[in-house]
Amino acid sequence: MKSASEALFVKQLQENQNIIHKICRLYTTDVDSHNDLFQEITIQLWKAFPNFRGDSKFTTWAYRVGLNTAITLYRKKKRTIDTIEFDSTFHKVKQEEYNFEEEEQLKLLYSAINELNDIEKALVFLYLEDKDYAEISETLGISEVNARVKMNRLKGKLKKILNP
Amino acid sequence: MDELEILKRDWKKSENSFNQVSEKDIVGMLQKRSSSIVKWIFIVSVCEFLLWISASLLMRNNDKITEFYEYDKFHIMLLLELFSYFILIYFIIKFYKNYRKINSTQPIKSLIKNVLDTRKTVQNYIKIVIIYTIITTIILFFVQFNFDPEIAKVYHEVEKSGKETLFVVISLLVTLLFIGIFSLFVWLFYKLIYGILLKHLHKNYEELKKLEL
Repeated sequence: MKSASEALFVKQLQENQNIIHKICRLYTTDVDSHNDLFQEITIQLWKAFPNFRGDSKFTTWAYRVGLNTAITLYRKKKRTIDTIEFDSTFHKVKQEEYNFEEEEQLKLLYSAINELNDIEKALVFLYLEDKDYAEISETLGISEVNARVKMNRLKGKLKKILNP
Repeated sequence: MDELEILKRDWKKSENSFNQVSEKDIVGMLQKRSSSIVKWIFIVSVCEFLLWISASLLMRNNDKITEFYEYDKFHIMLLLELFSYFILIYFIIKFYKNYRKINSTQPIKSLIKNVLDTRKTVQNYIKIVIIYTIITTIILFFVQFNFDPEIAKVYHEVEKSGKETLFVVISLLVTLLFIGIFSLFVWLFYKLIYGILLKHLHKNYEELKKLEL
């Protein structure tokens, strides 16, 4: 028997599942791990759902729990397959308007991001999601100034990869 | 155009590339068990507490210890035992309180800190147990030397040959060696569990602390 809150949760998660997929894409390198992490984030979200109050958006809340799960709670399983699939998944979408130079740049950027540590990945993720520094600093638990400094350094680092 | 803007654009565009999970799949996932590190820390920690409790209970039923109680005129053993229960209760309460603080909706830094603190409580408990064991063994060693009738008999024999100091020193050294080996074993065991469970958490916490410098 599904309870009303379970039905509500499932519906909201289903509608906003791309947030979780994007976190999984950043923190895993193969399909099995992606699905594993997706499941763990779903479980953690469900566990935290009774404390979710409507005063923040479901998505804001999901970003927080999702990143916390990927960075802290999720136990990575040892897998033999590694890194190769990370950038290849990104290029399925780009069949139309193929731009070779851009494609190369993206490849470089994604593989550089893949090499970043967990915290840096979280920063890049929040940047790509257009989050402001207030939200970034609150999500990570560091000051806004430090978030800004680190983000600028990261952006510089990524740009340098493209223009060595 | 800014290179990172290209990345952002691609990132947004790729949003539609994921295989969508159905509501039914999500309901299925909710029935699955979590494999979260916190769950593992909880299980490992409870096992550690149980291990030490059962070790002390086993000790309690040992004949040698029962004998010891008989000649332990100052009730040192009883006091030490009461003290060990006090330590145990204190740490279990502290562990539980820390565990309750873990919440996946807090900022990443606080979450990692709370997880590490919970684990640290158990680690501190183990340290206290080792120190307690060393001190207890030394105290018991002297009590036994003074009151255990069997050892007293041996001691008198040795006294006749005039080598009693050597006897005490060697006995003490052997005892200390045993505690040393015991502590080393326990320490290595925890290093191992720690290494497996918490390596990447420590790394991430250090990374976050570095950002605040």
